Amino acid sequence: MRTRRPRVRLSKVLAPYLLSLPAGLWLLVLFLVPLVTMLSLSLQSCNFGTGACVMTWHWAEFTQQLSLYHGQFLNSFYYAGAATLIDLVISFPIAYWIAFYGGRKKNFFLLMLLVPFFVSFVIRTVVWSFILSDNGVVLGTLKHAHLLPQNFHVLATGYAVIAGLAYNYLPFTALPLYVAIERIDRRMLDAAYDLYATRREAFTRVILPLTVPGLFAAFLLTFIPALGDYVNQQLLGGTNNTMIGTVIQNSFQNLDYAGGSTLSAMLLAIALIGIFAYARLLGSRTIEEYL
Amino acid sequence: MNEHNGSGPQNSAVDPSIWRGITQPRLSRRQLLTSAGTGAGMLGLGAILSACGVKGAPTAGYSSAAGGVGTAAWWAKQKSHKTVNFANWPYYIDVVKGKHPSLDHFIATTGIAVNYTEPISDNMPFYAKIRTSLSAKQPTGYDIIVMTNSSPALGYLIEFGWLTPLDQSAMPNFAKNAGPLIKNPSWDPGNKHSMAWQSGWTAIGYNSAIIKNPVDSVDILFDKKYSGKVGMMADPQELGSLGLLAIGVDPASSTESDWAKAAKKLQLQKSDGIVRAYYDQDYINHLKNGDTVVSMAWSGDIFQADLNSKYRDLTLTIPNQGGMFWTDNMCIPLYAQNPRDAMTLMDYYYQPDVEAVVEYYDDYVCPVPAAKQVLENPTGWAAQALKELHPEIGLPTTKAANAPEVFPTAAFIKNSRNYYQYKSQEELTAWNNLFLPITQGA
Amino acid sequence: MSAISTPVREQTGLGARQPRRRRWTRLLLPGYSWLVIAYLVFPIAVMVAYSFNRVTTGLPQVSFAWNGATLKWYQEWSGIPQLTSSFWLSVRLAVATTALATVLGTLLALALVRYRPPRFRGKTAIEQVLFLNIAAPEIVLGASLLGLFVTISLARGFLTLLLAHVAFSIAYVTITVRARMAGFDRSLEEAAHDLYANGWATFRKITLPLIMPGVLAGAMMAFAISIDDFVTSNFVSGSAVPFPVWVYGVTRIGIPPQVFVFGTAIFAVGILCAAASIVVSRRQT
Repeated sequence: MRTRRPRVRLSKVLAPYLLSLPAGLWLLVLFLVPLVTMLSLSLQSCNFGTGACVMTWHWAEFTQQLSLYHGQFLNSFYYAGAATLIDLVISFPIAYWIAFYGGRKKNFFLLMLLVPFFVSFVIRTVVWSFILSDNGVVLGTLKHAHLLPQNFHVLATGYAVIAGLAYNYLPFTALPLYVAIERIDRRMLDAAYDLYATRREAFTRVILPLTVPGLFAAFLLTFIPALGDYVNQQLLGGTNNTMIGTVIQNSFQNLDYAGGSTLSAMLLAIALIGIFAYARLLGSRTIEEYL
Repeated sequence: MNEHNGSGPQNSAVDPSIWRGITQPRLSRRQLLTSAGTGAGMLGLGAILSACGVKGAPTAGYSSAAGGVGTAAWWAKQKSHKTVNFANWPYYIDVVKGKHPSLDHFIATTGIAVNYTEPISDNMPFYAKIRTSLSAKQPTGYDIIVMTNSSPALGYLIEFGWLTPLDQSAMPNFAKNAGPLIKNPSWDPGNKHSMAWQSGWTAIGYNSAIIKNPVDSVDILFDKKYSGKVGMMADPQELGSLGLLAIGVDPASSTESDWAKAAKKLQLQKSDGIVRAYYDQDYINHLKNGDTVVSMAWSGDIFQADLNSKYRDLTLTIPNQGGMFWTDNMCIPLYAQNPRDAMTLMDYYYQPDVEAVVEYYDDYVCPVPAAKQVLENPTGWAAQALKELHPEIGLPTTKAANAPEVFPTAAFIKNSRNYYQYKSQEELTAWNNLFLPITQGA
Repeated sequence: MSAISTPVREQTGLGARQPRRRRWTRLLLPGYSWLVIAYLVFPIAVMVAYSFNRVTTGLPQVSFAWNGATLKWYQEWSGIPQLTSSFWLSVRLAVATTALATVLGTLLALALVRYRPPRFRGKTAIEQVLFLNIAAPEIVLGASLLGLFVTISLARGFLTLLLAHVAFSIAYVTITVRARMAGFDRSLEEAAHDLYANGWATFRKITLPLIMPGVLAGAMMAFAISIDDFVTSNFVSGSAVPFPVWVYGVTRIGIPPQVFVFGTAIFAVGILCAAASIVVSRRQT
């Protein structure tokens, strides 16, 4: 019979570090380091043409940019928030159904959710812009049948932007929701029924609270990228729908790296603050644990 | 817990367990401080790192002293390496069945291999990428790049001396065949640094089935009759130039007070609800789909649209106030490794028969007027290449030959206007600060 | 269910609700789910339809005016060399990214779920970094990476694209696998150890199959993110550009019809994988 060694093996002590080393190193070098450089850029003054930058501790840049673009920040929050809520509402039933009733075809349905997004977003958005055009397939038919006024339009409004965001970020909501719902132990449901719960009660008092971390992760994974998005607004929006992502993109485009970095830093900070507050509300222990 | 009938507590809409979760403290002070500490540490690290960053070169990249890069003596020393790296915009050269006839002919006649790539999707991002190599005095990897004169990128390249001056003695085809619009242009006097690849106008495109009277003025874009159906361009250089044309000022000779007036007019156009949206390249889709009835437009796009019977009502007009004439220019970045071969390739494209083949495909403004005759009456290699391209294009070659958008008439030339050339960073910032808020307003 | 609980159920009236449950789960939920999938696929279907559109004259570009059907663009799918090469670049890049990010992300997820401080010092730091990675706007990631590559004089090309893509994919894989692992029963692993299985065998035979759904979900997510990435790729690509970047650049002149052909091909491959997963899962039982 083999005897276990009494002292702890070095490999066991090092196990967590060895496991996390590759990913950790990758993230350190290729995420943290550039991010820190970028954050420091927001305090520098740059010559747009040559790219020569000097650290001037230009804190005024933050207040300047905020006063110029607070409207666009608000737009971003509103559109991203609305799109995320829509996505959560749309995704929950389908994630629930795949997790509980998907059976052997689970992977099939998950792939069907993801496959449309393998096709490049430029193509998808160009096609949406055609589908939603004023006299196109959808609106034209409705106008012909006099169900809509003749000058009704969806494109070039905030609603088109929200619709575009909701469409493009749906898998970011559905997948985490699915993963969280899928791991709920079915026996909890049986236990609830055994304790005289109705179906509604079983759902609201057993399943729903168990999905809260998944809801949180899904919200996060959808809201944050949607906040910084600019393509949907550029291709589907009008004159008053500019999101902060467009301003950041234009700043980098015009080689105003200091301004663009400042806005990015502010966007990041606001998003983080908002998420901490949201986490408190929803009662999750730490954000990270439920990620 | 629940009562007999299985219904939950009557007095609360939300389950008590959820209330418990919400009211418990979640973020401990320690966690908050840790995060703050990490953040502060990162900023400090950033300061250290910024000291190690790449510094741009504020002075000229090349010295124009005798023997310096670009002088006649320097060019005399440049030899052919039998290879050249040509970076262009996507889909901007003749292509059929996976081959480029004009490039293949070049390779066959000169024996110089061409590495043709299409990494340029926009001027400024591409400039940002090559600038980093140029600042570090490294080769960019490209021998020929194509930059638009409406973008500040070309101005930066010239101002900082990051373009190799062309060998004026090695441009015989250019000297003989180049058209008046792109020879000795205002953005590059004497063609010291660039030769045009293709050009075009930013003018007005409109649906003539809806706007029955022929359009000849930019005022149509400010007409309240078409509120909500007018498309404008989002690029600040294009938008600002149109604003200047609208107040009757030639952009090339405008002053800062003119810019302010133009910005005011554009702002009014926006607040009156006349503009549907500020578009990038996709304005043409909205014009085609009927979302807009009149729009700022590029000449080549309207020409292409007209070829399709469904969009034949789309008409291009260069208004009386003028249409902005832009050019995509071939130039040689500094530290290019094959400058002699680059010159050969650039000058090759100024042969009328070569340009005819490119033009048959691109349909923008041709830099070589003599190509018109070749398209009307193709001979030799060009005839063969045009025949190969014909199934793809489906047009008779005379259609391109007779289009004023491709071979401009005197009237078109008269109405061409040039962009403003910024004399300093402050001027560019002032311009952008006036016009960017209009396109990216909340 | 045991015979004892059934009469209790009937007492509470639950038995009478059985038919309604079947309506919910047999009709409404599946119907709704298929509707959502149809909505997702709708623009793709339009794209597939217009990939057969004939171009009448001029520079071949996609047109939403229907001119008749043709197979020409499928026959000449490789007609534009730079488009074809950018497509294959995207595919290679996505496959490599998925492989690397899935491995790295799964290992990291394992570490995060199993160990806590003080055994795992720096766990909170890593979690915060992951969170930051997801919270940071992609445009920041792209621009900052470009700055880094230039500082260390690394030429932009496939390598820089791969480095960047894995960097933003790891976090998504990690949190997906981790969410799946949170309910993982450690006693199964301990049982394996008791039966003299070493670490690697335990991982291969017990752990991996149990977390496989999460790993697969993470891999699918990484693939989808990578093959469709535009913002970061735009910053860190060199002379060889990925498919989305090329398509974006070409909208200035006109999108060639072959772009729709490639889009259809990508979609078709995805559908095939989905169908294959049904076959595989049927065989497993």
